[in-house]
Amino acid sequence: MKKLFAILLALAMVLSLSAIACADDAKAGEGLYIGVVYKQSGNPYFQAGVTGFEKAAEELGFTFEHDGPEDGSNDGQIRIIQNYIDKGVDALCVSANDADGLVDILNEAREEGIKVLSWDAPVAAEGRDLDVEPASAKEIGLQQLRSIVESIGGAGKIAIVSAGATAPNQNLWISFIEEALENDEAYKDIEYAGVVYGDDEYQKSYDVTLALLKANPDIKGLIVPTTNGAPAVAKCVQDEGLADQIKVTGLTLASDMKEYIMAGICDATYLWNPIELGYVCGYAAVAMINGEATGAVGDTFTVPEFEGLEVVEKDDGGTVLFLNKLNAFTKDTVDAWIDIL
Amino acid sequence: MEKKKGIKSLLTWEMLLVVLLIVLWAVFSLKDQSNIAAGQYKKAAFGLKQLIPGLQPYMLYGFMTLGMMMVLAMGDIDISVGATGALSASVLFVLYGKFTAGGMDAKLALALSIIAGLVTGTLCGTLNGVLITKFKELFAMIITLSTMLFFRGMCYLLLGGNTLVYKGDDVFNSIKVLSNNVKIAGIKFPVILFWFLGFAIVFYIILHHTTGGRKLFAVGTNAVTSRYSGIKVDRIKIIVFAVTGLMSAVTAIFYVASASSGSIRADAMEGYEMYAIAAAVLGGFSTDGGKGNVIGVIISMIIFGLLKKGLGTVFSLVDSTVNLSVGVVLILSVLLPNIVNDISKARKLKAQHDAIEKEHAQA
Amino acid sequence: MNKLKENPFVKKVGINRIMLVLVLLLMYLFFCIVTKWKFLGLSRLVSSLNYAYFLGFLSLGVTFVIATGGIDFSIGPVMFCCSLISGYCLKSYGVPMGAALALAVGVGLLFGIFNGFLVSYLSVAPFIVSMASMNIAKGLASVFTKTQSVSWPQLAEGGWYRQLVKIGNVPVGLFILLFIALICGILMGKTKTGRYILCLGSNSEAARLSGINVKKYCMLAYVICGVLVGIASIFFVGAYTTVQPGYGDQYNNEAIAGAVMGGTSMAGGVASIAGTVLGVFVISLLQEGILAMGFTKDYQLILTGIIVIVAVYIDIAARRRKN
Repeated sequence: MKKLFAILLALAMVLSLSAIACADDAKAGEGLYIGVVYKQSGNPYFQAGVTGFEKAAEELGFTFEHDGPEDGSNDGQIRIIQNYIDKGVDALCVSANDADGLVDILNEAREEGIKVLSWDAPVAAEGRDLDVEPASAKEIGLQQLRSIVESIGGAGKIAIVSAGATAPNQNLWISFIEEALENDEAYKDIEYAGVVYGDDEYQKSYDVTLALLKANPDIKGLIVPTTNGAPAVAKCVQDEGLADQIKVTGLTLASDMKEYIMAGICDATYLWNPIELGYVCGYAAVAMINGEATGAVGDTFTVPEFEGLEVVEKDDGGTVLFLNKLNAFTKDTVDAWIDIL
Repeated sequence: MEKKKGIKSLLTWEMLLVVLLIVLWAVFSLKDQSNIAAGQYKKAAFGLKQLIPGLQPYMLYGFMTLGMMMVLAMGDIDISVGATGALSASVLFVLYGKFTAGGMDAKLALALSIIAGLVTGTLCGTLNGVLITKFKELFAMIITLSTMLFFRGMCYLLLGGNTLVYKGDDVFNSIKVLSNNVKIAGIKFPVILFWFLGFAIVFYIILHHTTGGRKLFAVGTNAVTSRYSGIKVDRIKIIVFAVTGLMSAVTAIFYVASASSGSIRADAMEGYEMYAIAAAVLGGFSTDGGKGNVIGVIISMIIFGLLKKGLGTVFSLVDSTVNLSVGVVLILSVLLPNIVNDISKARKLKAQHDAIEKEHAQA
Repeated sequence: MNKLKENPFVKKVGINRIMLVLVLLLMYLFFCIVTKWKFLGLSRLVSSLNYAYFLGFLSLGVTFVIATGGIDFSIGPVMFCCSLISGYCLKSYGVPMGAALALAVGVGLLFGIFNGFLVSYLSVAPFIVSMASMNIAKGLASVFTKTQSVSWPQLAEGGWYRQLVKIGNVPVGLFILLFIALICGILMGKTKTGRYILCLGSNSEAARLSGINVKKYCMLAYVICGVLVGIASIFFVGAYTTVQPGYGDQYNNEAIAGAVMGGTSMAGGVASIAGTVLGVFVISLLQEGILAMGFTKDYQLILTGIIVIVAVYIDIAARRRKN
């Protein structure tokens, strides 16, 4: 009997101890519920982003759901966001197909006290509390331009194969590229053939590239600032037997492009780590729900393995948090990234 | 015998739909409550407060459905409605740009381009009707398949495969009033709901309380006998297809109003024909023609809205899988009456058979 | 013209098919001239064949369905569903390649059985069935792959299935397509099954009264179609490797256009396998040519629409003359 009592007592102590331990360990995001919306379902890039959110959710203890429209449309995103609002999320993390198209519905969400963050592709400033981005748009755009110009030896004709015509990210990067082409002396030998749109669909990107190459047989370099389009464009160049004449760069996943990097079609392609992007966005969302930050200029966030995360002003009048990490995939580095991106 | 008839008249398709609606609503509400109890959600996601404004995106194709149900009642089908709508919207967009670029007053330009959109839809529908009455050897489906490809191609030609945007154009975006909500008793009612009900009432009166409507059902039951009894079948068909085109254009205008940043792509409204047919068939308009009731269509529109909303919120299905339910419901709503028919037919046959056998035995 | 029709050779091959071959040659010549002979290269033809393979199998399949007087709008999405489900099993569950390919055909077969059963035994309108199964195929693929796109392995990573399409520059796929088309042709023209399918397509009631098991043969047509759609999915990934869920509708219309252009009557009862194959080549050449001329795919959509209208009109005109 005594023995039993002792065991019970010990058990009770262990239990209470673990309860205390738990209380001490209470995670910042316990009980919080976040809705993640991306541009299009079925896109591996966003799946990587979701992996980042999963990591943050595990560390902080929040729950989240994620979804995107099949057709990459604005009205599909509105429908999904409406469902999240109805389900009572605490924060929304949105990657917008159309920067202005979501403003009304997101402001409705903010009226109900939901924190609105945009990640990857920004929502217009009046519809968000904070934007989380990998690097400044100017840097992303110019990095691709510098790379392709170096690949083709400083002179020749280049063109851009973008995602959809309203995609805010791509349009912004392209505007910086076009501005540099026009004003920067370093690019005076570059002829620019304009932008075509592959709508982030493999087959369509392939088709528009083919049409572009037919219309401009003297093209030397292609910039593809979208992960879904890049493999299609490189495949098209390869199928056309132009691998030794045309260089491709852009924002790509390492696994998609290894074949073409090794084949010499791409000297280097770039991407931030979308896992990190989702991870930081998850942390930022929790901090904002808990009132530790509001998304105003000067706010700082503590995220493991990241330093100096500070909110700055963005040129669209809103605020932004930059990760400032851009990875290059080359013949030497692509293998190291292939299982991650 | 009398009593039995009374019960039978209660067992109409519309009553079944009402029961289905209530069952669905109950299931979703219960699941919603259990979600809250389980601490998954903090508030009701399926109360009337969320549900009614949430119906908005699912009411869009209601206008086409009203056209589609008339086509079905005639025993025909029109699968070009989505493409017709997209073409109407494209014409509206392109003309507005052309008009304003030409220095026209923006408000006038908007009004004119809306009218042009409606006319485009009507013309597309008329074309379908004329082709179908001219080439009677071919099913309506094949003709509307070809016109669907043709209309969709026209959209691509007009928009050049790109997205056309009027961002920040206040006059153009004034069309958004059609996607507003009005607050009644603390609940936001989407304006489109009233528009749909308004149109539905008009169609109800035409279909069920005018000679034109009766003729339409007569054509669907048996086109040959209707022709012999003096009904101008071809004329009715052309009118019905034209009206269907017009209703597709109406859907297009609401679509433009709800795509909130005023942008259009050539692949807009893809697959809407499927939603319209599904809603009309669930509403009781069989593909064989000759029957159906507008009230059924109104209920089935709400059922589909409720179903998609419920699956998306309380059951947390991702958007792309919700359509699965449309396919399943479509099949079931066609199968059920078919099976009931088969059973009653078999029963009748058996009764006849028994009667004959009895006679034989007596003989 | 009439004299030409009396010619035994023309009679045997069929005026329609001769015309199609002429169209094919003229189109090729036209594209060559317009693109200043750049179209002449072998690589062009091989890449236009890439498109012809999967479209060819789809078109062959839908020919059987159209022959019964039915229609199938689910072939494109079902094809995607096949390659998504089997590809996902291959990548995520470690299913061996051979089994994955068999699975792709199996999924197509299941959809064929589903469609056929509903159409023939439960007498649901074919159009409604195909609309529903289109959504079911898309939804199923989305659920199964958790709405992720699937990339089949490259040749270097053990993707030997790609050699079914081509080995080096040898278009293996072409031989397979022609071989299977030959089997389909024999099935349609020389066997009881084919004759019964055509018979019930031209007059279902008469076929039933003459003692044909109409339901069985109608279902069989859908099942054959399902298997061919499954095979098409293998050749789609063989050519393009990556499949995204939620797409595939566009190929329905092209496959149907191929069959109709080849002389298969939308009203049922008349079908030509050789015509279908030629029709598919015309459509693939058209798609390649339009791109080579620097136009976007949108023009192809319009042309496909016009082709369907014209082909259907010719069919009607021929019927009217007969009557």
